Amino acid sequence: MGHNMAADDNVPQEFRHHARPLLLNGLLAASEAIQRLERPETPSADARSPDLLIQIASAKAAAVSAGDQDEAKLCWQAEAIARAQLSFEDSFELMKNERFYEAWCELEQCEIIVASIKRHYTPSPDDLQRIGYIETMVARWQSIYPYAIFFSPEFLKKRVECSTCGAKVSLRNPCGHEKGEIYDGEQCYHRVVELKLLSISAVENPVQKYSVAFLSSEDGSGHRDHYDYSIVKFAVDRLISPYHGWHKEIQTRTVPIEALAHLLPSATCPCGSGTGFGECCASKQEVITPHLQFVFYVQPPEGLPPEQLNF
Amino acid sequence: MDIQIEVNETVQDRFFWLGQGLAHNNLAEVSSADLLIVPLKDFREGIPFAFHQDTASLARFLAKKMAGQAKVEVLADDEEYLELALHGASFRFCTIFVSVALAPLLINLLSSYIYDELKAKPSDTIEMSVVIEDHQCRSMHIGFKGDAKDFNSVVDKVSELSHECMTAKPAADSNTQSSARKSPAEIELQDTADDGA
Repeated sequence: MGHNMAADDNVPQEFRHHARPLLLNGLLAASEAIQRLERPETPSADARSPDLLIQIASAKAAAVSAGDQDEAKLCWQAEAIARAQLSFEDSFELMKNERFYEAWCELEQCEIIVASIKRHYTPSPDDLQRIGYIETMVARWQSIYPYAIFFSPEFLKKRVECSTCGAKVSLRNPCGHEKGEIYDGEQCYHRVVELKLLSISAVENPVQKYSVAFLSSEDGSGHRDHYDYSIVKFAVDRLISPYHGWHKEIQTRTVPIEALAHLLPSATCPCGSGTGFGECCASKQEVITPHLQFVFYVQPPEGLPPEQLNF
Repeated sequence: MDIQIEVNETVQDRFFWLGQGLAHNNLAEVSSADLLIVPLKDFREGIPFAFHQDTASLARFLAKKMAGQAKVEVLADDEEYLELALHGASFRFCTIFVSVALAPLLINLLSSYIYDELKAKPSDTIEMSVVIEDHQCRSMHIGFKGDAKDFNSVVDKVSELSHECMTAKPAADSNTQSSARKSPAEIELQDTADDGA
């Protein structure tokens, strides 16, 4: 794919001589770049190579100059796949470094990139570029974060412009560009240039995941991260690579009452009811507690506690 | 999330909407539309009408898929078309008026739009409503809020309702329809009368 005869026929003669040599200068075609983005978990994978991204950009510019929209679109796919892999790997590194909120924001970026790719690219059954894997794992990482409340704005869009041509987005006189489609190797989006803010609400499932509710700092000058990231840390500490998969299983386990002798009656009951231990399960012989278990597909490094965690 | 499906007869029928003074420059087109997408009314103080995000894209998708079968219109002139960006990651559609005969096709196309165009995940929340107009001049509103994976329940509900309508005896008095349906000119006259009142 990638060679569009109809488009080439419309290319001025002077460009026909330049287009292919430029493409050959590094990459045969975007499909080769996509091939080089296979199996990012292997040491030879080169999504992180600046050369590859430069070569893709160069190939895209040549394709656009040649009027080869199919090739330009493939270049966009290659760029987006590389960006998704990099973003996923970056979020993993941020979690490793205990920069959890930054990792959360990067996971959101990764989710957005993957969503934009899915419209134009169907992973192969083997998912060689690991886009399907990344999509699944981003959702799994997000699911173990402690965030529950987010701030979300509500607004009226008063003027919206097309990113491709800059025209005002119109109901009855559309510019012809569809949001999400690829034109000249770039994805079209709508840019809100004038809006009216209507409200800001606290929600559980926000459009913008980065808008996490934090407490203000002691001196009121900023915010403080009061969240408990122990579950995220537990998981990331047991992984060497972002491409080592895992899933969680929510189970229950039975705890003899003697094992809870240290709990005061006023403590929150470990059964998860939300009420006090004294008025809930303190008089029982056994307490059934929720139990989160991680299943790691690659053996965690030695010297760590068992891969189980209670909450 | 739990599925919420509402089915009720609505007084906010097509003629109610055509009398709102919208799409004045395109009245002939919207009056004769087979599928009419209407805005949210009085969503917030000072915002009498507004549309959910990407309503224009949805209308273009439906028009393309129903080309030659049905005429799709949005009840607004260009300057009246304003979109909302709302809280919460849900896919929301404005109310669509559709005849009983076209309703099953519309629902199937919406399902295709949700999965193929929006690339919704099974757990994504969908909010939509359609008003099905039957040949007895009733307007039945079906509202759905639930996960994308449960959208089939709307298909079932619409099929059931369509079957009931199609097998029911058509309105005995055809004048009932002709008297209820107003021409654009009549609506304009009505608007003028309202303005003067």
